[in-house]
Amino acid sequence: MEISFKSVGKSYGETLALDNVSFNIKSGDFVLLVGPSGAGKTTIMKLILGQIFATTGDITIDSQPVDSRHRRLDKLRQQIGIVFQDNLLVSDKTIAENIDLVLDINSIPIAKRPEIIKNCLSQVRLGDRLRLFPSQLSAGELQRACLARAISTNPRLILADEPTGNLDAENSWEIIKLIQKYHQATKTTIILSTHNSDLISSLKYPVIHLASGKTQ
Amino acid sequence: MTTLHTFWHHLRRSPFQSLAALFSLSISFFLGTTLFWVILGANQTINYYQTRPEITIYLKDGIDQNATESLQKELSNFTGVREIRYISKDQALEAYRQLNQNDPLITGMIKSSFLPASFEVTASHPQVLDQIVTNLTGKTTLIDEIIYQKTEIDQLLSWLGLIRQAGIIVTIVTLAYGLLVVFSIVSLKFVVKKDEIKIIRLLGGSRLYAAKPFLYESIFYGTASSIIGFIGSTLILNHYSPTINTYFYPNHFFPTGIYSYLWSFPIFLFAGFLLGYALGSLITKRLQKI
Repeated sequence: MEISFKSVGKSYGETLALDNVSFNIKSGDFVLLVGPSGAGKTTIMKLILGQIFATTGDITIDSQPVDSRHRRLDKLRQQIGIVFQDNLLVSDKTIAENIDLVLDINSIPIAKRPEIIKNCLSQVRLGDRLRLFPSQLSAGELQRACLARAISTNPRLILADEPTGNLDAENSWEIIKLIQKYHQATKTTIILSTHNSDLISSLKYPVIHLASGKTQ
Repeated sequence: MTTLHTFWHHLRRSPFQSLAALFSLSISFFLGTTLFWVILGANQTINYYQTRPEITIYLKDGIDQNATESLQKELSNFTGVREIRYISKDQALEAYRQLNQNDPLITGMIKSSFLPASFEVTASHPQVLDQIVTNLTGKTTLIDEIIYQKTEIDQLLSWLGLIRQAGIIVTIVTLAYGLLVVFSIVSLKFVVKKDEIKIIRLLGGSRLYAAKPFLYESIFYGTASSIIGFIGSTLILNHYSPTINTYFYPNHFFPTGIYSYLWSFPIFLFAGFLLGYALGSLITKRLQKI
């Protein structure tokens, strides 16, 4: 999935969250979005997902503009796997049911789902946790469950917004390694935002630096 | 599959709320169904009497045959008179015996001289009978009493009018109450599930997909309530219909036999479905903001 930002600006009332941001991400790239809190990393993720729309400039995904006139936002989101800091798992569904939900949204036949769920969970080493509820998992396990949900539909893009934000160093590395492994295996486009300087220096991927809503 | 599962999950997770919604709406449908049959029976009964206008003229004892024939001729001169039937004292006794055939003590004591001869007059329109009654009222030497059903029909009409009005008001009030309860309960669940809806939307679920469990829940309340209301009303009406129908004999106020009610079932089922759907659509309109 190719993503292009051209002079994108986003303001929330008087507050300017993004100012004249431009970048291009090619299909199959693994890109790090780096910057301190409030730099505009989450705003970029939300703009890509079509949760919010740019105030100025143009955003295109696979040459299709993402703006308020976009009629197929649901279809676009179905092609994106999300791994967010606040895991976004449905609390009263088990891990298996959470993955089943996204498979159902993507109209995956019911007969195929148990196998997919089993595979995804075993990839993130949660094969024995599928009947547990999110409240019964640790922070690291929750992020791995979230990753399992994200990869279950074979997305064309994975957006990982501070996936290690709530994790200790050991769990952070585990998540990063799993994402790296998935990228190597599938060449899926991945955008990972973080403010963790240890991670940034260790990972040899292209970096988009953000500070106060501007690229540097 | 997951949507249906989620809907079932909503019901199971809050069984008392679901029961309250179902119970409230079921009462409304019970009253609605009962009112429907009462109005239908009333209209049919009124129609029955209005299309068979009839008076019975009881003759005085001892009047001669000439006077009787002269009265019959006078009656036949009224335009609009459909049929004039003379019931002699002997025929009256025969009819009386047939009516009381199970009570030989009474039939044995009664003789034809005890019963008056009479004319039964039917007309094409009640106004003709009004005219006959007005003209004959003064003939006290020939006529003992005139029984005219107009007063009974008028009374029936006014009673049924009152029942209909009161029934409509009670049904509307309980229906509004039931809908309000369902609306509040489903809305509450909707608010509680707002985060889940946001997640569904982020994962690529359409607004309709996110709305479906709530829509299904409303439709379930509507249709299930209409079924419960219909069954309750039908069982009660069927139980009391023989007693009520004897008051209106030979007309049937309520249908006889439980199967006679079944034709109306699809109507109530559809009404329940439609109400549930409308209510669900109203609640999930809030999804536009998510």
